[in-house]
Amino acid sequence: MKLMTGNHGSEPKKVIIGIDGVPVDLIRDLADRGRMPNVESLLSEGEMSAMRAAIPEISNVNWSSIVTGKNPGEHGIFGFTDLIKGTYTINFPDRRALKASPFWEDEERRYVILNVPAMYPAPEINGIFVSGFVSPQLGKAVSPDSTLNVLEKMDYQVDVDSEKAHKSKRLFLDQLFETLEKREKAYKHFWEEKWDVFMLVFTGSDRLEHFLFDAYIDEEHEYHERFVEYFEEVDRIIGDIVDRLGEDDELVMLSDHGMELIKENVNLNKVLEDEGILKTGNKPSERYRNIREGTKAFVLDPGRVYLNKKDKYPRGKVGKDEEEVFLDEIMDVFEELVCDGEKVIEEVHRKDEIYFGEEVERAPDLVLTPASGYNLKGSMRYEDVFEQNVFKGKHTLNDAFLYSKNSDLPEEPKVEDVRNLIDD
Amino acid sequence: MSDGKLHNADNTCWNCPAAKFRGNVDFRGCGQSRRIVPKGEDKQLMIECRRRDELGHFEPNITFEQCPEWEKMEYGYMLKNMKVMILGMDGYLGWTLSLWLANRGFEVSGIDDYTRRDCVMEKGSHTVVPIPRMTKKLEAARDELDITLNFRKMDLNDRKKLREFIEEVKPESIVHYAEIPSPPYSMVDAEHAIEVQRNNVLGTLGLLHIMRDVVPMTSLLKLGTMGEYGSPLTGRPLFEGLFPNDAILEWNDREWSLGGEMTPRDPHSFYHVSKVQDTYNVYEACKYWWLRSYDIMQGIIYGVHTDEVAAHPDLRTRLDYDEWFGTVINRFVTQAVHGIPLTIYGEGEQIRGMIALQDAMECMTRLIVSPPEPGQYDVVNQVSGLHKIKDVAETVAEVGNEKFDLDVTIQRLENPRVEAEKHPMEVVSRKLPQEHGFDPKVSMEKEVERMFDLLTKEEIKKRIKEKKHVIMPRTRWSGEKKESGVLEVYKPGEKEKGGYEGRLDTE
Repeated sequence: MKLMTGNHGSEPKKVIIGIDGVPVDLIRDLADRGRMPNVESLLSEGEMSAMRAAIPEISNVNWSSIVTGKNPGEHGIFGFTDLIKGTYTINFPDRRALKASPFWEDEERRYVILNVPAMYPAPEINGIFVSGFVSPQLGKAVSPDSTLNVLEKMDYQVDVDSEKAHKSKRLFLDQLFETLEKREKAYKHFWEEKWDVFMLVFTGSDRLEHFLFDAYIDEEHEYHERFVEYFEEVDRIIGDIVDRLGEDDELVMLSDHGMELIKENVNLNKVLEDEGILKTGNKPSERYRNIREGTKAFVLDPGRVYLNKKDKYPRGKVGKDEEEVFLDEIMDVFEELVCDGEKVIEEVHRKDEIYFGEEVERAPDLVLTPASGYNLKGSMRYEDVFEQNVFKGKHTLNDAFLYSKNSDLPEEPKVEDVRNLIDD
Repeated sequence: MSDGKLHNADNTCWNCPAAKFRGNVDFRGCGQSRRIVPKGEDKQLMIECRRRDELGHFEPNITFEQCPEWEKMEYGYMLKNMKVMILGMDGYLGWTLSLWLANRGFEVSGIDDYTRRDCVMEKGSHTVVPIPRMTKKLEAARDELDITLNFRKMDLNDRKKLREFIEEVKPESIVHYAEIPSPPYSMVDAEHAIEVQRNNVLGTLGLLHIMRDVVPMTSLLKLGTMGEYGSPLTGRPLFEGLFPNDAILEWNDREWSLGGEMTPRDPHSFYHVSKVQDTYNVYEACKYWWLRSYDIMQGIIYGVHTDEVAAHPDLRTRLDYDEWFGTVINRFVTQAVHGIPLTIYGEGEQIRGMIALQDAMECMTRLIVSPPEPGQYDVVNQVSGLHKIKDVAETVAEVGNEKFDLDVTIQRLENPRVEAEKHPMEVVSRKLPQEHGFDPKVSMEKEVERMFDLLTKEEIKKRIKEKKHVIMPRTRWSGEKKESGVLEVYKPGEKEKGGYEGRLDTE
């Protein structure tokens, strides 16, 4: 029996479920193994396809493309970090930096938007909005204000404290399940509101995979079962949502990027420093302020290369007439980068090749996409080019997933195409 | 500064009161951690800016030079319309600084409950430079200088009211002048000693708690005094509050570094003790709650002039000359005008750090625009010169005799205080000149001349005469109430110079 909600009128409703960072193969695998039975049955009813993420394949870039239907050159979000104009100071662009309109700005429809990443602080919309990560203050992550009280009562958490994962995987997992439980409570509460579009994103999946993707791959891993159990829980909640849908209601499911095991972390700034392209102060520092005179280029996470332009940065070196020469030089350096005889960089994109729109001027001059298993890093604190750390999983570009129960999917879908499914 | 940069050009958001600390982010795994951990591998401490919401979250290292909210002014980069709250706005320094800052574009608010007026009146004296009621002063500020001061009559110890006012204004810097600043007043009797310590120590302690709760990013400019250090007979340098990194304690053939530790304090009145207690309370608050403060060990201030207080008679700041609230040079000039021999205590070989009113205002401005880092308790010695009391008397007498045709003499009195009358003195005052770009502009002769100019006006001479009985000291540290006997009267220039010379170490 379908659990119909009181707000259902004649118009079909639309539900969008996001599962951050889940590769299409993982969801198919767990469905096939019977560990995600509700997803399995959905797959038999609708259509699923691999989806291409934005470049770079970072959550906030992807979600900005998903909700606006625009490429980064239009929405202006190029990564988790950016440099504040005229400085080497990093900022973390959030909704305030988004230059394109998300679908919820159409006031004709009423919304519940729960836990979409990179959308902090919460905008005022026709409906209810609860921001996803990164949301430092819950009070600014909710709209309208009256929602805060509801969430505080249920001890809602936007995100798991990833600091825990550095101390204890076990504690991290406990927190992850707890956060999911709160998310479920919140969705159930808001389901009873009036809405036309309901969007819920699970983000614990991304956290889980970053720290324990090896536990998924290795069935003997001590946390393999816990890893799969997390997805069983997600599946149970999806089943619960599906049960609440009417016949004509539409369901879209998606992830924003894929995930794979990290073979090596690659310190791209170390590569540039070794080539004399990046000059740093004597004291190692994670700050970009450590960039010194004579620097031609530097890298921001994950593989965004910026020319140190004269008119753009305090210690800028590169004049307009030199840009092409330096870009060619840097492209050569990265195209030749190898690890154990294997090419590390799959492709070097010039910004004009991958971005279009009014924000392109602010885009990185080059964006690198890595060969499989190489996690590109723009950190300013490094010892070697290649290194290992606590993280096991890294984002991938070509294997996010997109599912629709009711609509046809575009061929070779990209994150920007999701908006059409929401608007239709 | 040698490269032509303003002194605070390289300060960053880390120093800026507009920064709101939000926690650390670890973006390696698009993760988030909410705990504030100041240092950590690859973790970014992130802030939001109260003034530049569009920046979202960012690492706190935009420099003042780079930030459009900080604009160049005479004394460094200044946060546009920076909100400064002055506790003790009606006082000698509070009023002068209020006008000075407001005239330079700061948004100035302040409180006062007229304790100073009451204390001076209680001792049967009055300010020699007449000052009107606060309402009239505020009107004059508006009419003459076109500035508005947001003033509330309020006791520093009324914590409920003070908290409300701070919540309303959200000051970006707080200057704390609201203390009873008199050694002799604190030595009158038990009631006076207790009142001074209650007002000063408890007032500051309450303020620190309010700042923790309401404005933790705001810097506190807390007025201490050079008198906290005392005058060690060994001649040990008086460092700026904390020992420098290379200071070493050697004992019993062993050595320890003293770097960063608090230097010894040797107060010499219950008032000075209150200041030392404040020092420790502020130091602890910075440690516990990440507050930030400059403890300003101020030399003796003298003078009557800034362009603002001189702009109109109703804008003048008070000038006390009684034994309790009159500071040494201000008293000497008043005595000279009235025809009383200048009153030196004991040998007159005491060496003191001093600074003219206008120079002190410049120092305060430079410090206001260079807030310390979160959790930083910093100390500056604010003096422009070291002077022997009897030399100061000679200077005042010379200016009076040569430029104002007076016949000034000097008298040595029995010292009512317990203090060293002959001692070496080396003061380290490097931070203001080296880190904050301060260079004194007012010579003692020049300021003394300005004081004579003002104090020789007929209406002021009349006021001095009215209360001449408050000039001679009667408050003795021993508790006796007895006027000090005269040891000697002499003319300026009669005494040979000798003894210790003060040494001011600014480089």
